Amino acid sequence: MWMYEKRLAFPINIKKRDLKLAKVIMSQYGGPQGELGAALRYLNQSYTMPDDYGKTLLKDIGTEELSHVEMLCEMMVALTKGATYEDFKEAGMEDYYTEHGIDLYPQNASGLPFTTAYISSVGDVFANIHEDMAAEEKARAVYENLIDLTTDPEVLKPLLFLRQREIVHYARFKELLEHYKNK
Amino acid sequence: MNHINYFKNYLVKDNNLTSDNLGFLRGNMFEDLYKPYKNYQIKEVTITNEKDKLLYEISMYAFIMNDLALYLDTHPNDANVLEKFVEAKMRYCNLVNEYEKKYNALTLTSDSLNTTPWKWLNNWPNGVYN
Repeated sequence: MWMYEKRLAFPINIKKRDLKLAKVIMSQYGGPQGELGAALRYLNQSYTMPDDYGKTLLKDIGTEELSHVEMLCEMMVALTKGATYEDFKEAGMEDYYTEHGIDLYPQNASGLPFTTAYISSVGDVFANIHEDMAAEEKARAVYENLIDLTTDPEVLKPLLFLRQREIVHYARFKELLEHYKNK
Repeated sequence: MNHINYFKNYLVKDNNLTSDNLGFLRGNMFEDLYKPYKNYQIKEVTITNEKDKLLYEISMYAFIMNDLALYLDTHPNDANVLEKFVEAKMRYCNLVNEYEKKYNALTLTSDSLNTTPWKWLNNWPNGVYN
């Protein structure tokens, strides 16, 4: 069961429009290393974890990832606020505007729609947790690429925060892996 | 639930926990896990009014609760961190009460929703879907 709380996990104060930045940030919404995939990956795996340790950690991290999806959506909305079709044209984003207008759509940076092929569960607790650890490392690397592409300090703050969460989650998954190795 | 010996070797020391505000801004409450990126510095969040300040503090203690909870999931015997968790939870609950009395409901459990018209519709916090 989930209960919505009417606030963001981390404050977003982006005031400057930047459509191109919104488009690449979208990768962490609906791309292969994105937060939507992360939430589904962990929540989906949580149901069949062999004990309460795995079940609890995957539920908790999966839930946190949903709050990161919300942060990214808020960031993209702030980066495109007030944009007209002319702004989309100027940014070379006619393709996006044609199908989605000013709405959000979970896709990767080059426009491939979100797919469950991004997540995996193979019926083996070790393989699953290794997958989760790799996912955190890949998401960290993508956040670093996005940070490299960003100069707006108000975009950098939440990106640095989200990158750091990948490091913490990786460490916790590694501890969970050790727990199952020693069991 | 059996607590595995492995966990006992990894109990956090008091001085490994970052201060509340810095830990929140970093996105990591644990000094030994913190890895900065290149030479990027952690900057304060801009807050311009009392309402945003209260909401910021709520989010900070909610973050601390969550980060310590993930740690406790893999270190269930760490009394030092549990103590910090209980403290953060208490602060979070008090701040939510104060915010909901002064401004608006954060969840459907808020007493501020007991009167008509239905207030859940209004007063999205600043910065949410703006």
